[in-house]
Formats: sequence, C-alpha cells, structure tokens
Amino acid sequence: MNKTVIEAGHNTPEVIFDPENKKISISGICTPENPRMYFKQIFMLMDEYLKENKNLSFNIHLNYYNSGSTKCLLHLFMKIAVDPVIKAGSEVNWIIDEGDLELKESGQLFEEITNLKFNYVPAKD
Amino acid sequence: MNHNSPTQQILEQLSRTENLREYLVLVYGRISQEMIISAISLTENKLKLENFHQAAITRTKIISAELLQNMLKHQIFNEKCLPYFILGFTDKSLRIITGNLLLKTTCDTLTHRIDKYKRIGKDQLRSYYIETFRNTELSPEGNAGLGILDIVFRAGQQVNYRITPFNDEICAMELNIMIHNKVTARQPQQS
Repeated sequence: MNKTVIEAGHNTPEVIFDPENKKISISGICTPENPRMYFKQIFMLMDEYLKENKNLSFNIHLNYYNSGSTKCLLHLFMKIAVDPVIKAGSEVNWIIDEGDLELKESGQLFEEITNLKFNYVPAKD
Repeated sequence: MNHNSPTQQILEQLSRTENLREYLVLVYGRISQEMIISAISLTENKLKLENFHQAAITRTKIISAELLQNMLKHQIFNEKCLPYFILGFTDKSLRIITGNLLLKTTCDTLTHRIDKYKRIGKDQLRSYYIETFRNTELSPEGNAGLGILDIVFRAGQQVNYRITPFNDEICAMELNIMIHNKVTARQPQQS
C-alpha cells in the first residue's frame, strides 16, 4: 500500500495514511455535510491495510467536528477494537490544546466505548 | 423569534429578555457552508480575545457547528424571517441564540427530543449519550440523528426554545443555549 494524503478542505481535515510507518493522522476541522461519504475512502484504506497488518497508530488532532463525523470516527476505531490482536497492537494519540477539557472528554468517550488505548498528548505550539 | 425583524429589532428584543453584557458575533441572513466556517472562525477569535477558557471555546465551536449545520439542512428561505445566530456573554456564561423557520413537523420532532433529553437526570445523561452514540447508525446522507442530543449534552441541558407560528405549515424556532465559561469534565458515574 502506498502513502495516501487527503488534503484539508474548508470543512474537512487533512488525512495522512502512512502504511509503511503504520500510522494514520487526521487533523483540522471535521464538519463535512455528508460525513459518511467523506469517510468512505478512509474506511476503504483501513480495510485494505488491516488485511495484512495487525497494528496501527492514530494521531487525531481535531479543531472541531460535527456529530456525524464523531460517529464515523467511532466506526474507524471500531475496525481496530473488534479484533483483540489488532486492538492490543494499536493506540490512539488524541492530541489536545492545553486546558481543553472538552476535547479531552470527547476522547475519553471514544475510549470508554472502544476500550482502545488512548494517549492524551499535548499539542505542540 | 420576531417576524420581519431586522438585526436591530432582534437585538432590542433580546435585550429585554436576556441579561447579555456584550454581543460577540451576529450572523443574519441565508446560511451557507462557507458562512458557517467563517462564523465559527470569528467566534473562536472573539472568545480568545475575551480570554475564555479553551474548553469553553471548543464546546462553543462544536455546538455552533451543529446548530448552524442543522439550520442549513432545514433551511426555509423567506425574506420576512431570515435566520440568525447570535453569540453573547453574561458575566458567567456564554449564550448562543439562533432563530430560523422550520416545517412544523421538524419543529415538533426537535422540541420533543429537547424535552426528552432535558428530562433525563444529570447523572444519567452521560451514559444515555454514550449508549445512543454507540448504537446509532448513519443514514446514507450521513445523518446520525445525534445533533440535538450532542447539543443538549454539551450544554449541560441548558437549552431552551421558543416557537412562534409563521403560517399553517411553518413555524419560527428560537433556541437559547447557555455554555458556562468554566467547563468541568462530566466524569463517568461511579458504580
């Protein structure tokens, strides 16, 4: 699989899928009008990657998002969480600005539902 | 919501019912996706200038995005009653006030949901939110039906509304949402 970069749009995040380094990064504003359509390509990349790989690191640094996108993010995390082997080898780096309890709690909600390993990482200036 | 109301009338009406110290953002007129992004960017900059806590800023942005996208999705254009989005603050909290026209059927659905979510005990709301979030499926259009629940949850149930009939099929809905500046985490229930 090749590295895939989806550039940020006015209301969509930048996505970097890096199979060689076993990482996926999603950053920026995430309020697409149709989140399901926007995430479709990412779901397909994940499915293809997980056919041959058993671990993945997420770097998630969101500015703000809509509820449909949170559902899509949950779907993305669940692709990892449903397989005990992949789950054990994977982690989510949930990047937050200093003092942002709101975004931290959003990560904690995902963590509670998926039981994935979440690291709460301070954003670099 | 005041019919045929230019911005000044809206603000005058608000000043009679709300104890807002200052208005930060006022959007009036037809909603577009580009306008939503600009409004939220302006909101963020204004709140930073006023030294609001980062958590309150993020909460306000997420609620605003949800509100404005809902207004766009259900938008009914009529020059006599244009949609508005107002962000102001009192000494202790932020206040978001939106007004727009809706089909009565949509309005009934929204008010039913708001009333239902507000009736849930504060201690149970978090687990209710998680269960709903976990079990809801996205429609082909990408709707999860979580928008109003997300707003009520993040605002700590401080969501009020006012409905004014516009004609037989349409009504005007004003939402009034309070966000505390000192955001505290809603910790999981202790079992």
